[in-house]
Formats: sequence, C-alpha cells, structure tokens
Amino acid sequence: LPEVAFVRDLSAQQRALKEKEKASWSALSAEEKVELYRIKFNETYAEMNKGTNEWKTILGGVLFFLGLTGIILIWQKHFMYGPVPHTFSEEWLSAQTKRMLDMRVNPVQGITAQWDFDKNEWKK
Amino acid sequence: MFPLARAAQSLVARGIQHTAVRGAHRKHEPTFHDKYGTMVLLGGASMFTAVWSYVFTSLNVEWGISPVGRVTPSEWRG
Repeated sequence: LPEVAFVRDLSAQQRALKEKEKASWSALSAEEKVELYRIKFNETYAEMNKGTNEWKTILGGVLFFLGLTGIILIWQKHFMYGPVPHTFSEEWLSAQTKRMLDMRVNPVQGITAQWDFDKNEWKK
Repeated sequence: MFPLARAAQSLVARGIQHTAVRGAHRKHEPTFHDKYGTMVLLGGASMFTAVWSYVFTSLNVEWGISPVGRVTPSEWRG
C-alpha cells in the first residue's frame, strides 16, 4: 500500500510549512522540523517503544484472585471440614512414625532411609 | 521477567523524552494502568499476604507435612 501521512488534512499553517519543506531544509527551525515529523508520524520511536504499567495491573489482579482462592479455603475449613482426626495429634504421629521405622517402611529411598538407626535421629 | 526489565528501561527513556520535547502539543493520556496500576498491585499483594498468612498460621488445616526431620518417634508398644 502507498505510504500515507498521519495527518491527512493540513491546516493552512501546515500547508505553508510543507511548501517551505520543498526548499532547503537548513532553513527550517527545530520546531518546524518536529512539526513536519508530527505531520508524517503519530509517535516517535521512543513513544512507540515505551513500556507500560500494564504489568502492575496484571500482577495485582493475579495476586488478588489467588487471595480469593485462600478465602475459599477458609470458607471450606469453617463450613465444610469436620474436626481434624485424632490420628493427626502429636502423640499419635510420633508413635506412628516409630512404628513405621520399626517395621522398616520404605527402606530404600523412603522414610526409613531418612532415619539414622545408629545415632537415633533423622539423617541430615 | 524480561518485559519487566524492558518496561523499567523504557520508563527512563520516557522521562528523558519528556524533558527533550518541551513544546509537545500532544499530551499522552494516562492509561488505566498509569492511574491505578500501583494501587492494584499493592492492594492485591496485601490481600494475598493477609489471607494466606492467616491460612498457614491460624486456620488449623492439616497439611499432612512429612514427619521426616520434624517428628520425634516415641514408643508405641503397649
């Protein structure tokens, strides 16, 4: 497609400037050159390439909806879940863990593999 | 992360360009992101931290974390 200037309908002032452009360009002042650029183009390269603040809205929105997910969890705990079973108490868990180690549960890569039987503690 | 770095650099370029083009007859209208972006970001972040810090500390949800390194075994026989 043929090239089209950004400003198509020139004012009288702009038409006079386009006439002046046909003469020597060193006769043009800096403001006139800028005006000629603005007639031809909508934005400068700097304006065209500049970043936006869009990431703030996006990230803020993402975090907001992740927060909503947490609120759903709170609702579930309050209105839906029953009490935590007694098998999750500290005493039960420690007894359960010892029993699993005594039985040598998952000795290759699992829980028993993580326990140091000589020092009687978890491996570092 | 790359668009983040690009936006940060362009903000510097935009500042320089604004000082250079003093007679700019075009005022680039601030977008929604310019007006409210920071507020949305901070609001979302604070809401997120508030909700999830409550969930992870005070809500008494059983997360089922591994006993390895955490639980001290105690006698079960008897």
